[in-house]
Amino acid sequence: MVILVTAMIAVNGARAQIQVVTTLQDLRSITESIGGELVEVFAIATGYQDPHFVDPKPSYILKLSKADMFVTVGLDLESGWVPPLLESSRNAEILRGAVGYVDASENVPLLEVPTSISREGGDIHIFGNPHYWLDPVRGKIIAENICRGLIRVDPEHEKIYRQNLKIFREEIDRKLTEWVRRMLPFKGTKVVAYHNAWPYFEQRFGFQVVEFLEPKPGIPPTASQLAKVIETMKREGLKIIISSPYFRPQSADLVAKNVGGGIVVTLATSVGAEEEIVTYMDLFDRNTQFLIDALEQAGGSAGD
Amino acid sequence: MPLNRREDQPVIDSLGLSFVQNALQIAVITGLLLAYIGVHVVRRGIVFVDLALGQISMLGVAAAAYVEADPTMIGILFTVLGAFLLSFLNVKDSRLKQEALIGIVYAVAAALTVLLISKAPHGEADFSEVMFGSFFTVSDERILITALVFLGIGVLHLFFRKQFFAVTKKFEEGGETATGLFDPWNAVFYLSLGLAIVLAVRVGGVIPVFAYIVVPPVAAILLSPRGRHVIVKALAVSVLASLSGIVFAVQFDFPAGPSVVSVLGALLLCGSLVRYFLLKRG
Repeated sequence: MVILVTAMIAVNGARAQIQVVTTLQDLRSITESIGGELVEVFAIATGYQDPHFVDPKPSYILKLSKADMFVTVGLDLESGWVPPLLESSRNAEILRGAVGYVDASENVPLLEVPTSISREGGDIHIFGNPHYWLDPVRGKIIAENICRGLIRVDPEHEKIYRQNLKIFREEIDRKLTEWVRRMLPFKGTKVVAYHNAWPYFEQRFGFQVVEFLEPKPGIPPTASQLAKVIETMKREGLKIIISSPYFRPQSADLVAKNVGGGIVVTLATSVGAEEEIVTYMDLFDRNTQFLIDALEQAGGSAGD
Repeated sequence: MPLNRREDQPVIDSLGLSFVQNALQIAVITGLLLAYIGVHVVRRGIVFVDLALGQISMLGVAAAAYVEADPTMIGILFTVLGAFLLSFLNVKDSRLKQEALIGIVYAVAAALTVLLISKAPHGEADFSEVMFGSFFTVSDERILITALVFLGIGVLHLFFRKQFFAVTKKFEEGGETATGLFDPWNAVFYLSLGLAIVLAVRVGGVIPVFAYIVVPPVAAILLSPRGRHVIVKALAVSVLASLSGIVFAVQFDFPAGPSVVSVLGALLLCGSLVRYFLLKRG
């Protein structure tokens, strides 16, 4: 009997950590920064996976069914797979609107929000571009949302969460100065990108994506679109093409070859895209470094 | 690291969880009806008809995305209409087979889907929500709807099994022109097939649906050298594959559809080995 009780206490002790499930690795990293030792976080999508498409696996539902908190990018980035997963988890604590549900996009100023009801222009994301975590300043707002969520599900440790939030914000501010300084030579550079994932990142670091290889978000590159991109790059003397690990390299390589001296830079859209990118800070360390390297390789500032 | 498990995964030891129960139920329900209809499909030699119909339902979803209409209804409408038109397929030239025309329907439907999606306002967004079902995330409501519709189709087939099998037998024996241009039972057969496929694709995806239609009947035929109890054996193979496929997926944390298909393949392999040794002995 005594052994049984001891065993139960041990189990309860292990379970005392707040169980958090996030959709993306980036949200996992930020949640770990805010929750520290008090939380155990599981991210569903890997960092090298296209977050628009995730195939449901049993472990995801199981993790969700036992979670105290769920963090999502929101808007409609994960709309294809999050609602059915949440429903299957039968966990009322983490459903939309429940205490354990955290929409990381809350209070985040969004870009590319469609202004008209008619979406003839081909806006795929009706709430605005969902790749907002790629701006570290918006990352601070994400951290605030996660902090509020943790306080809701675990009010006892409010002080610790607030303290960790403060530390996280300060670290972002400190690192941001370094990232901005590093990206200074890149300011004003015009580039092309495979997918429209970079508006927040480019706005923060002052460069400009002028054309996409995808004719429309989610539609694989077409011949006419690639011809258009090549034409634009030649005309304006652009050299840099930004791609992501989960896109097939052929189209970007083709454009690079046709432009002459074109450089394909594979940037991470998420923590975990490469082994070296373990935290949210690493993501920007790495991406800014890659862009600067590419710029040097291209031989100075392209475009105006 | 066997089977590439992520280290932070829990070991699932309970099959009583509601999502596993749902997956088992929907897999068995879909598997039973598709395997039964599959006996007709395989004997007629039109195994690609379900890929063609699945693709036509996607074309419907793409068309719905293009005009921004409700994808479910338009998907069903397209499939049922496509099935009806396919029932007219009638090849008079002895050098050609129905299968070739069905393949062409598949390819053209796939191409048109790509064309439509490339101009649709939201591209892939609407599409992924509708087209990529998983047994693990199927809702109770969806199970109920699917079960009721499939029960209806099943009862229809059971009730008129003589008529349906008479048509299939004609195709089997009389070649490709057995029925004339229009045969009402052939048309009803195609309609039931189309409806079954469009609903099954929603809950399981295209490839599992194809496997459910083709593998159990083929395995059953292999296991029935004298042609007896083919239907019963097909249904048994289907149920066995559904249950063990879901358990396999749960145990090793795999997506449901591909797990069921792999188990179906493994059962077929076992079936052919049994057949081989039976023939050798007999």
